[in-house]
Amino acid sequence: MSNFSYDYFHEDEKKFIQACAEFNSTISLRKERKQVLKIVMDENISFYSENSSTGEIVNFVFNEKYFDGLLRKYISPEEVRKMIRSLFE
Amino acid sequence: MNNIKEYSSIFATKLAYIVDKYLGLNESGIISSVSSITTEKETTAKNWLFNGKIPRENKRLTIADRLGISYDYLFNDEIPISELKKPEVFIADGHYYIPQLPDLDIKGIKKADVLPIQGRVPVMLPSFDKIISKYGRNIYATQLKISSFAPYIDNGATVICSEKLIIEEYKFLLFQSSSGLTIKRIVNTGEKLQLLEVVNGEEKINNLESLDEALLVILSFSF
Repeated sequence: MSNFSYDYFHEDEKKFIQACAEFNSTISLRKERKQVLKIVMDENISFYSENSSTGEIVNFVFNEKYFDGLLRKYISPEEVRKMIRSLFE
Repeated sequence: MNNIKEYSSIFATKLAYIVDKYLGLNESGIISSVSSITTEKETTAKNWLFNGKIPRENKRLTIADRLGISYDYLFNDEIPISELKKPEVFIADGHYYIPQLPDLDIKGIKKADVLPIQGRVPVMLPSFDKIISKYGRNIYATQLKISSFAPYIDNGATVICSEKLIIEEYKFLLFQSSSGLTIKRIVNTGEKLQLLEVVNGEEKINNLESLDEALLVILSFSF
């Protein structure tokens, strides 16, 4: 188990970290070129894929709101959107 | 409403009223017209109209869809004939069956009294109850051949959209243009909510225009 503690972070920072983790998971899923079901609902972009070894459905929900909410403090909304788009292309 | 011809049941009266007033009688009369629209035999149509028979449960939704009205309107005798309702989301066995409109005509949907549909998209999402309580049951599905907002909403994605518009950041809106359906997104530009569209790969931000001819995208899915 990781010793990493989230206790030092504010609630919105925790959500942002979670969004980053989901971003990375999604990229991994796409790199594996699995068949992915993508559902877009407002700021939530969900990915569903079947784990070929276990047969379980793997699910990642990328919450754009948390992701770009804090990121916008440092780069422009256009850059954030480009970054998110690059995830799907 | 006083000159509506009454048939053997309220169902039959509504059936004949819709066919006669909105869908059009053919030259052979009401029995042939009902048979043709519902794709049931003429003897069945005759039994509905004149002998008080009601369709079996497993055929009712299809019949209401072919007529372009809601299941509730056609089979709930407490709903008056004058209170027409278009096809709505139908809920059965934990599934939500969304009216499917392959050639979505947004203006037509908003003006229509009746809206014949050829099929439904089954959706099984636990949160769909919340969606219905937020957006109502006038929800439709269509397939977006070319998306102006790929890769969020991909070419060929199935889009579930509602007539009720709730304007919030991150939501997508569906508009009709001369070249087909266009997706735009509500974004917060710091001061106010505006509309973001992508034209030839370039982002353009405009003020929220008249939304009378827009539908709200509730969700989209693609593989």
